[in-house]
Amino acid sequence: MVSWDKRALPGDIIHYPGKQEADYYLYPPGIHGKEAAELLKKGKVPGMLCGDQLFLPPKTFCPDEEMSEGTVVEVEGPFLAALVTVIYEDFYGRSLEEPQVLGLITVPGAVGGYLGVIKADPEMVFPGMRVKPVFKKEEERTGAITDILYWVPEGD
Amino acid sequence: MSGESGKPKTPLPGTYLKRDEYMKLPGLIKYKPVARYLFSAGQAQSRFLHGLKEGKILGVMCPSCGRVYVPPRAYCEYCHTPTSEWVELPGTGTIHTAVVSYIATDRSRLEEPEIVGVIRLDAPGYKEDQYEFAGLFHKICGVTPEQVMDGSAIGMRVKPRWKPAEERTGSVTDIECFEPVEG
Amino acid sequence: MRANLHVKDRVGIVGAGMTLFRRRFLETPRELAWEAVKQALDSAGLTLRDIDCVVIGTAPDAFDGIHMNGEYLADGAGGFGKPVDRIYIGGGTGVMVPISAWWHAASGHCNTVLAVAEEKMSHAMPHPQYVFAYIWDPILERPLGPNLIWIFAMEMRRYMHKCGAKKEDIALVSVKNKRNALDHPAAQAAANITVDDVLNSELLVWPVNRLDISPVSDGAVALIIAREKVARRITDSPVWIEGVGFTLDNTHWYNRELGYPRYVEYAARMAYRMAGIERPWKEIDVAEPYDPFDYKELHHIEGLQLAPRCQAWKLLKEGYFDRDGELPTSPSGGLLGVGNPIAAAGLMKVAELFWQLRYEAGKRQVKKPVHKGVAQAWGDLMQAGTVIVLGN
Repeated sequence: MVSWDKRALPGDIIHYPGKQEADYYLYPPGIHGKEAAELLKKGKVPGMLCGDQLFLPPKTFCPDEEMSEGTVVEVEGPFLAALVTVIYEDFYGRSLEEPQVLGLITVPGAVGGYLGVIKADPEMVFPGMRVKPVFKKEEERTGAITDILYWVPEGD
Repeated sequence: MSGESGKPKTPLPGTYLKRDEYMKLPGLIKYKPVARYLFSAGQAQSRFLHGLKEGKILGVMCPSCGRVYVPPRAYCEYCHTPTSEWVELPGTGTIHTAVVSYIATDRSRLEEPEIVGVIRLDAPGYKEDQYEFAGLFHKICGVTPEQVMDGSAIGMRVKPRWKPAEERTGSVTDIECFEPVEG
Repeated sequence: MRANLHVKDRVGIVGAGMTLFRRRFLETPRELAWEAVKQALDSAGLTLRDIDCVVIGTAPDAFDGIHMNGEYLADGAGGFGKPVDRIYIGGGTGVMVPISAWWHAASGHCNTVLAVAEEKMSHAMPHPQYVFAYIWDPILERPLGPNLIWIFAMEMRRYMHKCGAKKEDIALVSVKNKRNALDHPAAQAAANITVDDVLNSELLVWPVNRLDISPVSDGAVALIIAREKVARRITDSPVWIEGVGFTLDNTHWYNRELGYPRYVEYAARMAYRMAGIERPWKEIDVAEPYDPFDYKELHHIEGLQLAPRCQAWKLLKEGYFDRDGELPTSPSGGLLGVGNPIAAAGLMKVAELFWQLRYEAGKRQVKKPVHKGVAQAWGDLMQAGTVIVLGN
């Protein structure tokens, strides 16, 4: 009769530590992403127009039957925090010294939005609040989305 | 839907960049992923690794078809039944294939070339065939690059060179390498 | 397996498109897929509206450096809001993609299927070979510090020993394929080189030199596949998928004879049986065997039963596999010449057969008349064989 050979005790099972990593990856922005990156470097918020429809952030191409190319444009606002959430713990479950507000920022009529930190009192934020971007100093911008440091309530 | 030619338009799309152009792209993102794992060797392979620590090469046999597996598996690939009969192999074998490496894992050049290959292990009395056999992938020492290149290394009789018992950890590297059998 | 398949409909290829193959593109992986898909749709005079289902193929996520790369590619590949399926078997992916597309259509489930394969190898730094290290077994192989090229070198050495081939005999594959690629508009590594150039290129792992290996590439390829009644509306000359085959062996590559790819033979026999081909060496007119390394083309020619065992290198020397030879292999230029964006490279081979069988390959068109072609890819740890037989 055959049987599973379980002679090894749990402590006998050998475990091997290992990893899976590269030195690093370099991701290019892509054809449309490059235009968007150039706008970010100028301190502007990019979007993409497919006909009259605005997409945030710019898409690879327009989601139509022809898979046509859209136009990367500067979005001037008004920016709204369509969704807001307050974060109290960090990645490891430790309490944050100060709660952080995260929002999905969009403009009326657009599809999609940008995820961003909102520098505001957690008690005072609400969905639909008006916000505006705060950019890094011009010489520090790289064209990445992190060029937008955070968003602040409009009027601050 | 019109019946046009199936040929794509030329020139073909794709925006090639030289390395320095690429490095200067606005919005280029550099990211280092780090995923750490703890791989379990499982029942059969753990026993094999414990065997290496004791200076033994263990195989496991399928009770139903008689194939002997080195490295051991918990199940027979053909019969899909549990393998349970452990056998100690003499450790000797022949070189199935061998190569001379001038590069390391990350493709940097090695100072001294390294010889590695596949060892077909002797498994006397157990079923194996021309296509499949008990074997290990390992380093080969005591063989010159010339012997690999002129082919005299292939088919050469070899045996394991063990690390000193106190240095063994239950790893495939408890065998330093396979070296030619004297005489 | 017997060819007692219940197939609702014959399935044909009606369009093909591809990007350039190059090291380092501005395009994101998604944009590469999008460019190839647009080309393929344009070539068939279709839009996304006409596509029912999408099959996406990319090899390990670690190459593009994007986890769940298939899902990421979905919209670029034209898959948003459609049934999408991802194929993921290393180098074997490229030929498995049209196989999967075939059963989507042959089952009657989809009338038209987009088959898209993409790979972007240039993201990983300092070199994609670093990422390849993770295909090795973490317990029994990685502690020995292996390099990917080792495994190919071991297989090549075994083939040389078993078949009596020399390095210079095998280098002829690289010479032939890089020369063929001179006529391919997408080619990355096309060149007029000699056997000596191969032998004198950088020695990496004897017997493998730099020019024995295909380059690191980015690229994407797309095919459009349709059921017969739809295919005939789209074009007068669809290329039919007549046979498909695929086999997976285990990952214990050092427990088997490395001089012969049994898994390719099994996959080929499955495809030939379905296509009703009994003597492939006579009935196949043009072949695209997988050639990431030059010896691999010979290895695979034998696995595909296009030459007797250990005879491929002798026939190669006689010009048998040249573009004007008796059985042209890799008339595209193969991976050695056109480039090797893993999954896309396999699909490029199927696209080449499509153009060859429609007599649209231009300067690459083989001299002899063509009726049947076979393309094959190989992948994972010396274990996956995927084969497709096409006919006009």
